[in-house]
Amino acid sequence: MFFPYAYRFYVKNECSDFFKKINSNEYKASLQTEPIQYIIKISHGSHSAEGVFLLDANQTEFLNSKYNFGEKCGVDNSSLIAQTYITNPLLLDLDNKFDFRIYMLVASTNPLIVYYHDGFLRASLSEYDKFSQDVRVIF
Amino acid sequence: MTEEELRDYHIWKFEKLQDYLLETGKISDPNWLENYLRPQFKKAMIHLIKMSSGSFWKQSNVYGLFGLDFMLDDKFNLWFIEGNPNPQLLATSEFLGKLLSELLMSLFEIEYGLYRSRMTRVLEVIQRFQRASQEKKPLNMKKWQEEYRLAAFNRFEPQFAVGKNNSFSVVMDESLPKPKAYFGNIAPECVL
Repeated sequence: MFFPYAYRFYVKNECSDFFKKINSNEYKASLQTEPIQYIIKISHGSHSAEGVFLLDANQTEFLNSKYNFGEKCGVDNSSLIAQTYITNPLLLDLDNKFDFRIYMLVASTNPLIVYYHDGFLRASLSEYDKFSQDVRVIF
Repeated sequence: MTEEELRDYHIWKFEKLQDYLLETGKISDPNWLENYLRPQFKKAMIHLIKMSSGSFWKQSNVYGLFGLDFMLDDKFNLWFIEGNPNPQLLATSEFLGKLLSELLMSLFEIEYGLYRSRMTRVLEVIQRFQRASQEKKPLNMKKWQEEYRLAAFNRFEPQFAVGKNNSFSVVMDESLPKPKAYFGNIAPECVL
């Protein structure tokens, strides 16, 4: 319910499912109305959007060649994930995107004691247009 | 916008979002943050913790602060984007400086409260153990190990409880009996 559907590249069947999906005719046809459907991330140790990219035509070609259209799933165990891209974000006053940063304190693990702390919103400085070719607009 | 204006525009308080959504008629509840958004965050946090706590190091002196990122879609569904350990706490504006110093002071109050509570109990066990070991009777070490384990199990002693002004709010505390441990943040039928 809170988690965008995601494929882990280092889990063989999830990786294979992902390459089947992005090479299907259905997916290719759906790009007409939803040009960006996945966001690719390094699953550990990435900060400040390092190693994060949107699955456009170039990146699709790059991943297809890196994983040989899914043949190398289970061989190449890079810690990548493909997360479903939120295509219909709520927008702010400049028709811009935003995200929330909140803080979670795991105050104890024996037993589990967990706290919430308010954070802030990071508002994008450009207008959102999902058909834009400019990565600064759609990121 | 000037560089300074851009910097101030870039970071919004939650209240600014609520005001904007009320003004534009996208929401109608003046207490939307408290009635909708924060409970959604807390519920998501319980799910995240329950998914990952199997790999936590279960030791009384372990704690961790995480920065969690979420988005809202245009139907007001909340989506978890990612979680970051050791989040950057950098005061790049007056608002962030205030928020983060409040966060750190409150974090210390919580951890220090748990630490002093634990040490109070552990010291009491040690003192009793010392007395028992002077009695020249064989010691039941199993019993003393169990006493130590219970003393180290974290919970707040009343004299070290978290104050009213602490800016964190509790989401779950499994030192309490269920379902009280979840403070109504998940539906009672979800509590196992």
